[in-house]
Amino acid sequence: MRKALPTAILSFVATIILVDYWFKVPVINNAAKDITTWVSLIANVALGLGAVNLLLVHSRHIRLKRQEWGNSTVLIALMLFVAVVGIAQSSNSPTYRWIYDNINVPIGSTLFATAAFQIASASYRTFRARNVEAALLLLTGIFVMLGKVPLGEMMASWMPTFAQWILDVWNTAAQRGIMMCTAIGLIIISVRVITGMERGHFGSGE
Amino acid sequence: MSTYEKLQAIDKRVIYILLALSIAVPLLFPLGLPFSVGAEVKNSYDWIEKNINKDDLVLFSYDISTGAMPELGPITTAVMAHLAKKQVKIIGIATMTDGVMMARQLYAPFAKDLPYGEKFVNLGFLAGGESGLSSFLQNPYNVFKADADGKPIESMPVMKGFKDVKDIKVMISVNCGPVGGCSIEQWVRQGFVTHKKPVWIGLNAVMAPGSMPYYRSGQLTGYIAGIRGAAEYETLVGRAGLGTSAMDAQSIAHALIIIFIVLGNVGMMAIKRSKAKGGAIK
Amino acid sequence: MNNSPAILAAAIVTILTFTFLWKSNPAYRLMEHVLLAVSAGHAIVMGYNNLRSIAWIPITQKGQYSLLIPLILGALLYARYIKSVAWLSRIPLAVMIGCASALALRGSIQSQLLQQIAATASLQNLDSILVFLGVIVTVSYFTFTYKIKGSAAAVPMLGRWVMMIGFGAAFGGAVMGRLSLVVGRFQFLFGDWLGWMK
Repeated sequence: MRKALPTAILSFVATIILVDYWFKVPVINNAAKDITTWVSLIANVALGLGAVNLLLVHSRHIRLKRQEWGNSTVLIALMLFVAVVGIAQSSNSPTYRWIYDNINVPIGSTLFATAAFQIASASYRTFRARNVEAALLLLTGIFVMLGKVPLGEMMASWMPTFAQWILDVWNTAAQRGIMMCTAIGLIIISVRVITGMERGHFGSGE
Repeated sequence: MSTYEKLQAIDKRVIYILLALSIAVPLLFPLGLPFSVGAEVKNSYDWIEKNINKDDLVLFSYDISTGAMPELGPITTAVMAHLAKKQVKIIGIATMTDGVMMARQLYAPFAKDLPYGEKFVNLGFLAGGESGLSSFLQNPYNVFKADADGKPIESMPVMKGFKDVKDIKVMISVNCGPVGGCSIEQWVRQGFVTHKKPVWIGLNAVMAPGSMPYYRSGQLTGYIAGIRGAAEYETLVGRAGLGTSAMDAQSIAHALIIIFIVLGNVGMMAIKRSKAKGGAIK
Repeated sequence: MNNSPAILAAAIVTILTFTFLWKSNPAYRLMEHVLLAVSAGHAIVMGYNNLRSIAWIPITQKGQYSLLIPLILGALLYARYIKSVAWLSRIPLAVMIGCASALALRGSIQSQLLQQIAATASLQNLDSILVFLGVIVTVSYFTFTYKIKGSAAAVPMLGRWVMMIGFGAAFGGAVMGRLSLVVGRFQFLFGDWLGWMK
């Protein structure tokens, strides 16, 4: 029951969505419209899951005075503050926008930007052309990097054209081949999920 | 330890400092390196020029996370400048939560050209990924009754004539990937495959090679990739911005990365050869 | 130098986040927690706004009681935190996964398979012939049902090489993308904050 019911619901919902695409059956078509709307509504409710999880994990850190429980306190307090301001005022209020635009966006952007430095370090220490394939990968990367910046154009007028040719022909061929094989895998997995042969997405245990 | 071995073991912070300098110096002392506009960006620009007219409804999805803002912000600004020139009506949505706030930031410079409520609306966050998008395209009022500020949308002039996907002229998504929102695949599936509508994409350079097959197979009408794409589009709309000013720094930084790769491999080969010879080289 | 509170705050958090590159430190870890906090709080606000306008108001003011069903389903997601009824959270998951997998299935057949095959088979010039050959050798690499031996083994090997070129292009794109993020942050620090950029 605990796995059979969700599996049956999944198959039922998926069947409606699939039939809706290929057949004009008013009852099914309307049901499919409702289901997609309901999923959007459910997803809105699900947005609180992350916050609940953070609350549970970090309040435990605070209670047990684990390492960096001070950061956990800041996290919970700030999260609740942002939620209260956003709900009581609006996400367009000056306070909310100040926090978001001047704290969240800079931290988020900078966090991702640090990856560039790690790429630079990896370029020097780890990217080795130990065999033909690795050499091909590195050479292609170099040509694409040069072709996509003005310096490459300055070095050789054919550089941008050559880089674009690599992207248009060889990259497209590779990505297309991978995409087609992935699509076959996706179709098989989807059929397995819809027919109930795959259960892993429901988690293990009761 | 040989010289090569010492160079291979250099502290990574030295590399970080060199990279930081390679970006900072060209920003502070611009070189003004010229660059050309590629065919992809030109075709994407021309498509909008030829097919989009005044008061056409454009669905613009700000699928931009905070981490992608430095790359996708300039693309969005350039494209919005083009759309503002064309005086279209923009229905703004975001399939990721961050996108709602990015939309506010990126719309601000165009508030005069595209008055809110008349030529632009920010409907807010569309939850549910592809399911939500599917519902929205069948009837936007299924998933939105108010804009991102809570104002009712039914009476807004910009929403007049927007009943479903048939009223949309083009779907534009400036997209940072599938995490938390709709991926390019999902836009293609819903926009092009299901509803036969043109889908026009701005994307970050990381995703560009992987999404190329969609463009090459004609499933995308627009394809602006990375900061270089932003710079080229800025040139076409005549509005030099962050994309253009980034090109010099991008050039020097790329050159540095290539030098690192070459030096690292030269060092590896030298060490290998010396070990094969059975001695250390100075 | 622009010392308005907004710009100054943004500059400070940017620099504190960059300190991670020197070594992991308490200031950086605080920034991580701040990012998590604001993002989670923001998600709550987005969810609340949407639910208020597309569920609460239609139910309470327009009598659209059918919308209670997805609300209850959504609430069941939180059953995962109560051990005795945790299995109930699978029901809304089943609805979401069923819908998403069916939408993916019906679209992927066309966009990732049929359209790609059609585009590959369209031989108009030398480049398209090269793409065709490249796709054939790449797909041959994924043939695992039997081992290709002899001289024919060169075909999947070529497929590997073509894929390496594809991955090299992806690597170039990744480097370009990440570097542009650093450029963006430096543009803010040197331009908007310090005012040193022309």
